[in-house]
Amino acid sequence: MINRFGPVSLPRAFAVLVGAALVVAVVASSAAVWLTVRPFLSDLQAEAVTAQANDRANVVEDWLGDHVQLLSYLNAHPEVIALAIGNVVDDSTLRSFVQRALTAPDVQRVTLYDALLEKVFVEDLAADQQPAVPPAQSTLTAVLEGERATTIEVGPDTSGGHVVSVQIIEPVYREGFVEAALVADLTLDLQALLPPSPLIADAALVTTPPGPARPGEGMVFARVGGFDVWLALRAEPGQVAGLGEQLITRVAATVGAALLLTFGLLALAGLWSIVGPHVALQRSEEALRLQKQQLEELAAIARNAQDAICVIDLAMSISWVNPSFEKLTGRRASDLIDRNPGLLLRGPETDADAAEALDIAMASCAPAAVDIINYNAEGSPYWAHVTITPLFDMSGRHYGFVSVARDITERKRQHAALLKLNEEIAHRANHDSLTDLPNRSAIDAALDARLKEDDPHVTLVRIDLDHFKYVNDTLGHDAGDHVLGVVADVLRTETTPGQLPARVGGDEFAVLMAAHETSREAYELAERLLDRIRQPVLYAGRPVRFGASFGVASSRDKLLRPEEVALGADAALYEAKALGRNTVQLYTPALHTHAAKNRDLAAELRTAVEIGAFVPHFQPQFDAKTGALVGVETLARWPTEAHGLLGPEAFLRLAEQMSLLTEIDAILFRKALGGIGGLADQGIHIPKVSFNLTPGQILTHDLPRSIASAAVPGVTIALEIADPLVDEGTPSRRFHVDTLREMGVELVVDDFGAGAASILGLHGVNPDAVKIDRRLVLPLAANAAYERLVRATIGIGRAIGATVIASGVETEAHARILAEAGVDTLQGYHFARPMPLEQLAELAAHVQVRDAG
Amino acid sequence: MFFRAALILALPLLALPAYAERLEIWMDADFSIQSRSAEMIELGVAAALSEVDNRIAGLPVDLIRRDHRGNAKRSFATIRRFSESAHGLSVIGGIHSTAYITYRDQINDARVPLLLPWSAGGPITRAATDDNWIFRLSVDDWKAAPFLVDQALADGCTSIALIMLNTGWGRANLAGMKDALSRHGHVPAAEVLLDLVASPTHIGDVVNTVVQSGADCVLLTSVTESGASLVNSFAAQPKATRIYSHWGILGGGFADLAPAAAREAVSLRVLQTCGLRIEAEGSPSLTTALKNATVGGVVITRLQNLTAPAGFVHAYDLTRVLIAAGEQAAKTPAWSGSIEDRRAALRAALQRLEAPVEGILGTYAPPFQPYEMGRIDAHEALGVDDLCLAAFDRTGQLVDAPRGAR
Repeated sequence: MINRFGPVSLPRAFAVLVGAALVVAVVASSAAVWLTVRPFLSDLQAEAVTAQANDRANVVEDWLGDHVQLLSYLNAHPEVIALAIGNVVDDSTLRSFVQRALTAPDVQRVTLYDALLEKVFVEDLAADQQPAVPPAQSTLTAVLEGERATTIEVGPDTSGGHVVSVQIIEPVYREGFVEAALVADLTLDLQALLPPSPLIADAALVTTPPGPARPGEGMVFARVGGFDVWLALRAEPGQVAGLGEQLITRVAATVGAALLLTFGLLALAGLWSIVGPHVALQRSEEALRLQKQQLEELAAIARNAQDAICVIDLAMSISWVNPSFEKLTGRRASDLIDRNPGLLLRGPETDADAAEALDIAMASCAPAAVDIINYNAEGSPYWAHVTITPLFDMSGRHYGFVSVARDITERKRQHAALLKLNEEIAHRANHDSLTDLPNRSAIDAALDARLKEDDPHVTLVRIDLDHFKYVNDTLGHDAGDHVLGVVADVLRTETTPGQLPARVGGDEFAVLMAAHETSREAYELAERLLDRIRQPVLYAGRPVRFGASFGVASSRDKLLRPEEVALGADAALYEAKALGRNTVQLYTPALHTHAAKNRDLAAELRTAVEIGAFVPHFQPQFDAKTGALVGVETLARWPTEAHGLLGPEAFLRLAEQMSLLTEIDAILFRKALGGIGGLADQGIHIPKVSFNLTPGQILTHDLPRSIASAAVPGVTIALEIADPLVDEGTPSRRFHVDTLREMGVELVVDDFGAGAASILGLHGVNPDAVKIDRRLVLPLAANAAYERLVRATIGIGRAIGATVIASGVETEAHARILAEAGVDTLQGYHFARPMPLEQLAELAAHVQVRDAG
Repeated sequence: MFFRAALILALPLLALPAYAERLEIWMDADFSIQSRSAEMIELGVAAALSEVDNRIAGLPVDLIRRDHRGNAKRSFATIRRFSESAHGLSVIGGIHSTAYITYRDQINDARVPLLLPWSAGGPITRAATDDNWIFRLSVDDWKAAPFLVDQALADGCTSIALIMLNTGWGRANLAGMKDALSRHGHVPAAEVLLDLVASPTHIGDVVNTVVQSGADCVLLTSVTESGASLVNSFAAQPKATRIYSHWGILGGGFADLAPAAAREAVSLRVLQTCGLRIEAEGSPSLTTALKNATVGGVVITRLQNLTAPAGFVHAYDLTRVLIAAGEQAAKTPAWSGSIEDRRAALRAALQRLEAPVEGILGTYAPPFQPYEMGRIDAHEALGVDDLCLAAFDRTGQLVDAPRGAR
């Protein structure tokens, strides 16, 4: 039971007393303030409005200053003065400059007045034009006479309140004399430009200097920087008057607050010294009971927790552990108490940083949480997530720590495995599995990244192994893989860390040079690579030789944009291959010009292949003794709109670089044999059709199929190959040649007597016919020595059992000498030029045709 | 200069009552920027006038400076003001051609006798109607272009680039030079328009374009500063390029801007009339003219001591022609009419001068002829035979460069 006038009513009585004293004090102070401040009110109102006006004038000054600067920039353009003084009349250069330079939306128009006050240039820049109001003649004259520098004019308000037109008139100087005036018409939206204020009702720009400020009328003027322009502001009368009331209210509130603080402190002191002790005694008994209950609950939770918990005292000794702690450490409580947990649990793999973090936290009495490797009683490591929390007693004194540890070994293991897997996946995506070099997508990504740099530069070396297919074909794919591995090692060891070597295709490699490197460094690298690649490689105890062609291109040579460098390097590579392989070719200006032409031709060529635009022309061959038509040589012709009918010399080399020869040959086979077959249906029989092939083409696997699909019964197919093939009579070539011969195809060695074939090699191939080169035939009638040479050449042909054909027979004399010398077949302009099918049909209908078979 | 000008203006005022009849000759020239060219002309005019005691037909003559500061608009404003003036008899023009090319038809419409001792623009004296009020005693671009081309080809130039000022004058010359080249079966190796106020970057671009074109010679029309920058820049190139310049570079101070070594590196030749050659050969007319020429109180003894001798020589000869025409016009009834009538009488006399006039460059008998469209040289006092090439000596003075001297 508690007395009515006991501990509860004492604080209430105390509060009522203090509150009443406070109210009396506040009312008295407020009255005093009102009486004192009232006389100063009107000055304060004026200052407040003036301060706001000056702030806004600064904003307008910045805006004007920006535009004056922009106009000065335009003013410095040489076309301005050239137009103004009449040296040029074409204003298009200035117009496009103005359109580019003056993009601020508030610039309406730029006008240039010459010394005679005539407009020589006007550019309207705004979409919705205000009508043009020219500056006053007196103003322009003053500027042109040099009496006024930069001049600002303010036009009438045209939008009902806040949008004003502003003119900036700038003198244009030449050699220190004013020769013209440049005028910019601007619109200024004062409402948008100036920050709103409840004190300001209205704002306007004026060019007339104002009288003194008249706050009574509510008008205030502020000069806009160094310009002869003033910002006129009309104050909001109600708001300005309200300023005084606000001031008095604020002062009264401040005095009230100060009194409140004083009385509050007084009340607190009373509570602390009188009321507080009385209430505290009552509460302490209840608190003690609750605390005891909580402690018991906490102890039970700690004992049964899954987490390993221990309490550590300030001497860093364990003073209490729960059963989970015993289980995690593999030690009994009796072995743990009074031991230092750090010394007991840490071992060789414990991360020193984590251990230090714990030690520092404990030394500085701070909480901490770390993942750390600890060791159990058997010496096995385990990962634990350890949280350390400092402990304080009731009086706030620090007396130890509680450590909570959780076993996270499994989680750590899974995390590590996942990281490793991710690394592997990333590596595989960007690396070639055979050579472990970065792959095409890696170099593409590097190129993309390079192109996004400021002022990007790309220097690229493209590498294509020469005769790699030959290694694969003759020694097998393992040998090929071995060679690729060797090349990859060369690339790895010769490149420096800034350079990126990559395998971008079967036998294609590339090196992206560092951004600062030039084509010179790339060229030197390519030469080093070539030197090493040319060294023979041992495979299965045998030396394997191969080479490589290199194309180098760089955007630093200024021929190519960075994104075109890859194409340029390709073009250089083609050139290197065309120059006989095993070389390094730089993308030079000459190559650039050539590449541009070739690019056009290549596009046309690709289309021509797609639509099968090539047509066969036929040059007839005749029996030297009887004059009978014994066959035709097929020659490729490409009808183009732009260049007319093109012969092979115009496109074959490019087609070879583009790997289109097989397709073109297939088209020719189909069309030529189709045409010859058509003639056969009309009763015109052409006994033999021969085709020109490069040595490389004879090795394509598609060739037998192309021939087989186009073959015509009763027509012999002959393939003419320039003799370098013969020189490389390798087993693989023999195989191809034999396959063709089994299909009934005849083999003719072209350019016979002018190539590099050895007689032994020739014998090895065993051709059906040889065709004497035209360069041996042409001088025949004029030079007896050639006649002897031709006779000897025919002798060689005979000796290997081949039929002898002579090409380039241009005169009657040629034909006679060759027939007497024993040539079997004659071909040349003397008899017939290459001709389309229709002409051939007509010719064949009128000459004797004999089966040469 | 100040004393002499003050004397010219003050003497008539002292000698005659304020209402007395007098005549004015206006000088429409750039007395601010290329002031030396204007002063050379003024010197020649003053020398000729002082020989007749500054009087024409007995009336005192005031020489009025009108500075157009190189601004074609101001130049035309001067012409308009002159046409309304009460005493203006004739205008003498300065070095610039642009204003007179642009406003030629308006000048003829305003019936202003305009005498040109320096500006070379071809179309100026070829009016579009028979009513032609513009007379020239100077180099004429229509003759200068073929002359420069002939000289360059005669000196063995094989590939010629054209650098022409980007003004009406320069662009007109570009067409003339190309035409002259094509008559010899040549096309320009490069054609470049040069900014009037040329930045170093622009000069670099121009020189690069010409060097890359492989030209061995350059024909140049330029003003002093840009011309000097070009000469210095070409001189710094590894391969020598020879420069034949129109005389626009002689506005004053060229030799200070382009040092002797640079001038020699480009074998600089400058178009002139043959005054220097005549001086070298000895001429009594020249001695007389120089007697009345003082600069800053110093009497000039030799033509080549002047920064732009041609300006002086032409102005002197042309003023002598003007005086003779004035005297002849004063004998006609029209002279007693208004100032407009006097100008018309002066023009008529200029077109039909009866007595020969002795000048430094020779005897003019007569200098001009009545103009009709098609008679393109009727208002040209000089012909192609009056053209010579000059070179700078090491001290920066212009000296005659004999033809075929290379």
